[in-house]
Parts: sequence; structure tokens; C-alpha cells
Amino acid sequence: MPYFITAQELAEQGTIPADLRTNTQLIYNSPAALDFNSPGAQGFGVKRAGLALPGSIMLLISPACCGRNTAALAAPPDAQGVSYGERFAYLLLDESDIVTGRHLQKIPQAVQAFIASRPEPPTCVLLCLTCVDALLGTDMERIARKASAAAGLPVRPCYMYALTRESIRPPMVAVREMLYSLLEPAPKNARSCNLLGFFAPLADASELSPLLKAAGLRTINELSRLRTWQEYQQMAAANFNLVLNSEARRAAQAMQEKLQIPFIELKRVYGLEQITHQYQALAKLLGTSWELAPYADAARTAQEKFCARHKDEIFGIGSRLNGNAFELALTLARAGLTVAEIYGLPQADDFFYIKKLAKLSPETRIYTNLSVSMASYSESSSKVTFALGADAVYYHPHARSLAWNEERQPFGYQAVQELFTQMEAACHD
Amino acid sequence: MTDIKGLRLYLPPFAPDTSGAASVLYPLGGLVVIVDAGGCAGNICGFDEPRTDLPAPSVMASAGLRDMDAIMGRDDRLLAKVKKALQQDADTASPTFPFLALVGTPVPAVIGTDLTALAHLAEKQTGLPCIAVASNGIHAYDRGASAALLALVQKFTRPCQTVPGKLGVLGVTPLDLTLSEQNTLRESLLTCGWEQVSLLGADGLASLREAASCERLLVVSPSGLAAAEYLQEKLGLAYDTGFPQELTFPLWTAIKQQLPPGSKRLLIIQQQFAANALRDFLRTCLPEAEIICGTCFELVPKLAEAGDFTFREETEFQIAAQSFDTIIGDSLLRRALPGFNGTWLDYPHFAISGKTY
Repeated sequence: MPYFITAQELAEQGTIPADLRTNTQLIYNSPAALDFNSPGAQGFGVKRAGLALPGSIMLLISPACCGRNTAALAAPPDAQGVSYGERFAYLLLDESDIVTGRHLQKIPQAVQAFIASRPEPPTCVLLCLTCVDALLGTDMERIARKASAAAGLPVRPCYMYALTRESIRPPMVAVREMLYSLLEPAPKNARSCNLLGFFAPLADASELSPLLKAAGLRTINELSRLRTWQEYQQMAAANFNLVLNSEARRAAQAMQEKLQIPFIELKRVYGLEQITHQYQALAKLLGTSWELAPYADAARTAQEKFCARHKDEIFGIGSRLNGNAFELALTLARAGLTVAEIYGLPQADDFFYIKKLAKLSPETRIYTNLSVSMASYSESSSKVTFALGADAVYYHPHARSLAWNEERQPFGYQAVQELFTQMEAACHD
Repeated sequence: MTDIKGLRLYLPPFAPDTSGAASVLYPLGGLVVIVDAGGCAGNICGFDEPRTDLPAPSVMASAGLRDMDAIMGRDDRLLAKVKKALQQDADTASPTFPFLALVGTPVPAVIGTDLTALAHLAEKQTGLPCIAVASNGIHAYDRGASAALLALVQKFTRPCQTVPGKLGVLGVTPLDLTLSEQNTLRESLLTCGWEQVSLLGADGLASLREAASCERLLVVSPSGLAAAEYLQEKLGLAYDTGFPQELTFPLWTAIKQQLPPGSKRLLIIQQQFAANALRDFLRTCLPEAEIICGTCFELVPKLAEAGDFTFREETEFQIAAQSFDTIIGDSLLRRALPGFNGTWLDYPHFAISGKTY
């Protein structure tokens, strides 16, 4: 039987048990956990994230195995039109390189050859490094400066150090810092702000942009929507940053220091009250007030409609989705739905939700995708009838399901409305 | 073109030895531990493993190494994690793991982990058969596949009664042969008169345990050679290499039909044994043409014809390809030849592009 703990047991313990920690066990690489263990395997890892810089190109400096999945990124455009074909090149290391560090001498020349080989001049070159250089202690900042001087372009290191993923500066935090590190100080534009945190755009239907515009903002920058270096540099003129994903907090702190751009953090939550409180607080900070009722009503209607029609569904909620599995489980439980299982890895902050969930749904089982014991998880011995999240869908191929992990990022009331609308549709498929 | 060793301006890395090893181990139902920090296992399971519908595949796990594990060389923690996973398996109603495999990656290679010693220790402490594959992520898939297959036959294959009419096929993984091609190969061999065809490894752990019951072995890719040589030396099993002459993959027929009639110099890029077989097949319609086989993987000299070559560097390929009017190979390779004006016929190779057909 796979390891699990109930919400009540976990709430009573108050600390994360060893079986829910990553440093005490092997990490099962099932399709349900793949992008937890290796973000680049699905969605955005360091490589794709780095290339969010408009016009950038990336030289991956590593043994062959680290760059293998870029064969997919280099392929012709997929259904979503995504292709990074010409934007990658590789400096593949052999044993002698690793032992002698001789590859480091070649990097400036390789960067120049890379630039010369591309029909369009790039805006900057990113040097993507892996665990090997982490262990060798390579000073890639110095090499990047040398390469930059040789190439006449900005050259920045991009640390894909999987070994450091539980450090205070894990790769997905470091890459976000790098992304904004090339901004140069600029005069402030009081009517401009940046949204930080995601590598793909916010859903067009999200109310966040209209609300900000109603507050007088005219330019709302999202890195993933910027097409040129000039547009990118306009981010430096922002009056403030809105951090929508906590992994961008350090980047925002760095921008505050270097560019004097203060930041405000918002969370993506699915509880309608929490969304309203968050927006009201933001409006107060911006010195405005917002008419939230139309957005909130639409979301509430979608939620109530679903709950009325499908109150008998039993949910399994995963963590490979656009949201926090524990917050989402609490939201559904508060809406009167049954959450039987959660597949996730609770962090200290999640106890805020887990303690509340334990009161509403004490028997909810919390499984971890990472445990090898999940290899024996059996759909037939579970009561789940609706799987929410890509990992939940993997465990429940025969249940009604919604992966809810699109690259376009849902946010705010729109996320709630869209989630319940799509769940409704999934019940009719 | 540039002469910087290791620089690839167009071609992404091909399947590495880690993926080759994992590809051999995946269908066997064991606990396979990729001794990495996470990214290698992600590349292997997320990109290089197309078999998602096997009934009881191996459980692929990452060691989840962190910086302090590497710096302090905390092998004891890795062993503790392994034992915990095995205990969890033992606690289930039906324990499943028949073996444990440790697959190396760049991190243990850089810090000098002795995976073989670790495997011995794990075997001693857990009682479960354990093998180690000292892959390092630098070499190509065929080297890793070869090492894994050799380790498996050394560990599991024991002398047994020969079954007349049984053929054992070595070197079959989806990195070289699609699942459909594997079926075609099996059917073709049965048609050739073999009564029983066992794809050693691909057919599960039992096929390796009983490999000595084969009357003869057939090696269909360089990754099967080391295991075949071992089985010949230790158990007296004779082996052949290549594909049966009667075999024709549908793709080969399609390629043949698309060949420009005036082709004079053709280049086939595949794993060596498949390239050789396709060359023999095409010679029937282009007897005058010069057909050369190239590979970016292992080239067995005794099975190569004059002019056949292997390339490691992108520029080596660019230079070698210039003199051909027709190239048959994975279309990803064409990216390295933007000025190529000849005919390109696509022959997907999963180990190159991760693309199947």
C-alpha cells in the first residue's frame, strides 16, 4: 500500500514527517512526478525559462545527458507553436574537459561562433551550466564577462544546478533573478508595472490587467509577452512589481535594490473570499477602489452551478496543476465537495490550509507523488471519481478528469470561473 | 564551420549512455535508481522512454542527490534511501522488485563514486541481486545499453537445457527499433524457420534468466555485442550479427520507392547494423551506386565496409556529408547541413531525435 497520511494526522503532527520529505527517500520518476524532479521534463525548466528573454540564445555547457531533451525543443513548432530551434547550441563536455577544465577556455570562442552562425544577431547569450560545473566550482561570472567582451553582447550564466534545488537559491529562483538582471536603471513611469513569476502569459480573460488599468496603469509588462529587447528594457521603468509566484521573490528583491522598483506579492488562490481580500488590499495600496462584484459573481455562479450539479463527485487533487493542491482542496471542501485524496508535498506554509482542511475533511488522504511506494497505487481501491491535476489524472485514468496545467496562467476570479467551467465540461465528456 | 571540440551549433545531444542503460532495464520490473540530482532521470523518463504501456515495468527512481551529498560523499544515505524503498515494497501485499540497479550519471562520475562497490554493499545488505552501470552521461546510449545488458547476463543468465529452434535476439531497445519494428523482426525470424524468438531483455527478466536455453543468438545492434561475446565465452552460445535477409521494414520499402533514380553516392546514417541491412536491401535496386554507412554511435570495424565512418563532432559530419547526393537519416541531422542540395530521405532514429514513426 502506498504511503499516505490523513489531513487530521498531519495537522496534529504539525511538522512534515520524514515520508513527506525529499531528502529521506528515493524520488519516484513516474509521469506523475516527472516535472517535480526535473522541471525541464515538462513545462518550463531552466532552459526554456532562460530563453524567455527576447532575442536571447543559449549555449548549454554540459555532458550530453543534460541537454538531451532539447531535441524536443529544437523540433519544428508544436501544436502551440513552440519551437526553440535556432536558439540553442551545445558545448558538450568529455572526461578530459571535466578533469582539466579546458572547456572553460573555449567558451568565449564558442559564443562568438554561435552568434556568427545565426542569421539574426541575438540580443544576449545565456550560458547554461549544470551539476558538473557546480561540483567543479566554476566561476562562470568571470567567464561570461570574458565572453561578453569578446562578443560585444551581454553574456549571462544560467545555473541549472539540480544539486542545489533545496538550497536557498534553487535553479528556478536563480533563473528568475537572471532574467531581470539585464535591466538597466531607467526613469520611472508611474503608469507602468510588471507582473513577475510566470514564464507564460497570464490568461487573457484574467481580471488582473483590467483592474490594474482601472487603477490608472497603462503599461502592464509580462516578460513572456515582450518581443524585443527595447520592450524588455521598459520593465526597468515600472513603478512597482507584482509578484505572482513566490519563486520570483528574490528577483523582485534584486530589482528593488538595483532599480528601486518596490514589489507587492499576490498569491494564486481559489477561495473567493481570499481573492477578494487580496484585491481589496492591493487596491488600498494603489490608492484606488475596485468594483469586484461582477468578476466575483461570475466566479461564484460557476462554482455554485458545479457544486449543485456534481456534489456527489469525490475528488483526487494533484499538485501538478496551476494552483496549490492544499489550498484548492480546502476551497473545494468549503464549497461542500468531497476531497478524498491529495497528491502533493506539503511545505511549512501549507499547514495554514491543512489545519483548516483537517477540520472540514479529516480523512482526506495525503499521498506523495515522490514515494516509490506510489508504484503500488491502485485506482480500483480508491473512491476518487474526479481527478484534478496532471498527476491525479495519471493515477485515475478512468475517472472524470481535468489536468488544469496549461501554460497560460489562470489567475484570480477568472481562474475560479474557468476551473469550475472546465470541470463542468469534463463531467459531460 | 568551427573546429572547437564538442561545439554543436545545430544538433542537440543524442541519447546518452544513461538513457541506453535505462532503456535496457526498464522492461524488467526492478528498482532502477538513477544516481543523480533529478535532471538526468527527467531526461531519461521524460524523453528517452517511449514505452508507457508496459504492464509491470521497472520503477525508475532518482537518488535525489543534493550538493552536500556530493560534497560529503554520503553513500550511506543513498543506501538508506534504497533500503527504505525496498522495505516499502516488501510491506506490500505482493513485493515486486526482483533486482536493484544503480545507473551512474555525471555527478557520481565527477565525485568518483564506486558504483560497483555500492552495488555489492547494497546486495549484501538487502539480499536483492544488484547491478551497477557506470554510465556518466558523456557517452552515447549504445555504450550504456551494452554495459547494462552485459551486467544483466553476468548476474542472471545461468546454464540450462538448450531448446532446439529457439533464437535469442540481443540489442533490442526502442532507442534503436520501434515497437512496431520489434514485432516485424520477431515475425520475420519466425517466418525464417525459428520456432521461438526471444528478444532478450525486451521480453522481460525471465528471457535473460533463460537466455542459455537459446540454440543461437542474433545481435541486431552494437549494444548487444558485449553480452553476446560473454554468453559465447561463458556458455558456448554462438551468435550472428545483423538482420535476417528476409526482413524488410515498411520504412525501408518507402525509402526505396523514393530514391532518386540517378543516385550515385548515398549515405545511410543509423546504428551500424540497421544501416548495413538497409544498404544490402538498396543495393538490389542501385547496384552501381556507392552506398556508405555512417553512424554517430559505435562502429564495429569488422562489420564495416571501406568508406564507412563514425563521427563524434558536428563538423566531422558536415564535412563527410558534402560528397553525397542522397542522404538517408534522421531529419534532425539535416539541421547541420543547411546548404545540402541533394535528396534527404527521413529514417527516424529515436536515439537521435527522440522521434518515432
